[in-house]
Amino acid sequence: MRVAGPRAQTDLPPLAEVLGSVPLFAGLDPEAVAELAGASEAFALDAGEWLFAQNDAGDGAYLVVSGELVASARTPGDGQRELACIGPGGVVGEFSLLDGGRRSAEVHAERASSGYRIDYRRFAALQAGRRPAAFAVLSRLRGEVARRIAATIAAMAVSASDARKGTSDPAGSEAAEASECARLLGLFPGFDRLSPGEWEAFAARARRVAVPRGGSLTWPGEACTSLFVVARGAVREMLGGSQLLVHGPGALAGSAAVVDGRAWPTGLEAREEAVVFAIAADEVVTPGPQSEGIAARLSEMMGPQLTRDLRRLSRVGNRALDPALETS
Amino acid sequence: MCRLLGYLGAPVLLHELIVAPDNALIRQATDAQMLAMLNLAGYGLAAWDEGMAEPHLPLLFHSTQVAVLDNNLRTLAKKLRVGALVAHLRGVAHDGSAVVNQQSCHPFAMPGSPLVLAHNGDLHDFGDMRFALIEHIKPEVARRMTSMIDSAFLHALVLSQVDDPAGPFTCDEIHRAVERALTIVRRVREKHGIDRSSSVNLVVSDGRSLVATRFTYDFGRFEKPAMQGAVEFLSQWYTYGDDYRFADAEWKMIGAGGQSTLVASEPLTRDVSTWIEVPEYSALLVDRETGRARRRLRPIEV
Repeated sequence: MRVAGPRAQTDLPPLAEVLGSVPLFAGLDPEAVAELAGASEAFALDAGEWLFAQNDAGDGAYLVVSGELVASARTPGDGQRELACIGPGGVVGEFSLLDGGRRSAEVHAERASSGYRIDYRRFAALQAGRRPAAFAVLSRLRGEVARRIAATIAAMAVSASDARKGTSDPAGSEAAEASECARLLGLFPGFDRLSPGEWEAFAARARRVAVPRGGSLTWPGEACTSLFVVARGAVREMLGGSQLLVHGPGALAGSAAVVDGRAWPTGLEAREEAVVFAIAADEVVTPGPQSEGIAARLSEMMGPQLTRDLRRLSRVGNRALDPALETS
Repeated sequence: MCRLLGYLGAPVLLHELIVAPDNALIRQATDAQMLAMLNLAGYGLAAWDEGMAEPHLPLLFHSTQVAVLDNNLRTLAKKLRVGALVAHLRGVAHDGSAVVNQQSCHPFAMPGSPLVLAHNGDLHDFGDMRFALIEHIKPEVARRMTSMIDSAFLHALVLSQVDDPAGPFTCDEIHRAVERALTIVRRVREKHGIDRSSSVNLVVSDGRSLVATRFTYDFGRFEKPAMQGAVEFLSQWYTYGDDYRFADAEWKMIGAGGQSTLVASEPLTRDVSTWIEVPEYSALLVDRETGRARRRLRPIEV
């Protein structure tokens, strides 16, 4: 029987010691560590107790100090598949710090466990206050999500002989114009808060690309050197002839590939005649609070885009579990 | 903009599909989770069960009542067990421009034909297309149309693509008919210079097979203010199991065999963990032609 969440725990080592042993937080400077400590509280679970259920509101990231947690995901037919075991030094639920979104897996204690929870709301306050701890952690989290997306895609079996190429390349690019950028993108989340000055900065960094239906923006096996902000139409991410994701207006297509920086297995092509604004990867993958204005805004917007893409890809992967699905 | 639901599988009480769950179809009339729109312009259902008279033809029920307020529907739902279902809530623009009558409630059906269609979405500038589409509808089908709305035309077009509307049909025949209908609409749009986003999420069924589409013409091309279906791909989800019931404090499909399939605009529970999205630009085909449930996903490249 599930129990509603963890309880407080008091006999743990200091958070600063714990953070040093977690790769996601290792190497943070003392000021950042102190800020994270202020946003954290201890937790404890008995064996068999649930940390959180799938679809629960995300309340933060959990750092395991002792014990063992197991993450699993529910599947149709009331099934369940185990995703990971998390032991001392591990972290779970960390992606909720990017978007505060609902849990995409459920976690229970296989053995009595304890650790620290970095509270989402207090972390969000650090982010709003542009505190160094938040920037450092968010940058690392985006990288971690991108790696998780790469692993999810790699796990999808695709026949290389089904690989399909786009039929034509974009019709060149041209300089973006701030008023058009604002008109096309201004009603979408994140973009709806840009100031006139930030629109000017966006346009200065963006190239306007018109893509015919079927036209390619990126090719499989190449590193993605631009982030594509979809303004009109639709862009889809293809893996060997199979559609993985569709990105509509307001989406940041290619986010994972840009953050990861390596050769990426999928390609982006226009499913509908599209207008996108291409922004060079090094304009948006920028660490630290010293990145101001539009670069910082776009980096922040990539976090929720990445977690959204990961959730959708997980559901794509779940289709393969259907016992009655014919794939040919 | 509407909400719809399709079911094919082990017999289940209608109440358990459209009334009981925390995001049941009737609740979506006023409280849809994935659509920022009320669905107050009526409802309808087509239901099949082996115990009915003429079991190959559906029981049809349509009303302009607001589904969540209609006690007749709740009473009926507690008494009716179904092995196949297509149900629909109609949502229309709140500017008084829509025709709201029983004839315009989905799912659309033709006397003597088991093939019904429910639609979530709308065809932009349909008034400019209506009479161009008539030439693609067989006279014997056109004579029996009782509504002139876009969704009724979609049904008539699908019926006009099969050899005999009385059936029987294979699932592939229904799928081909749907694809041909979508192709016809694409051509008429192009001829009339219509290039604005138009969603065509469908559930089409004859009680033995089911085809559910998640498709939009020219997705991402819109005017201000942009409708939800133009900037977000309208949702279509499905789940499967051996049977559908209340267990562990939730309504869900249970059983690894996957012999029953439930398709809906949005999951019937606020917890979406056990549901899967129909891919964009795709059709989900469900049948039992081999004696066991079979599901297939096919891209729509119209």
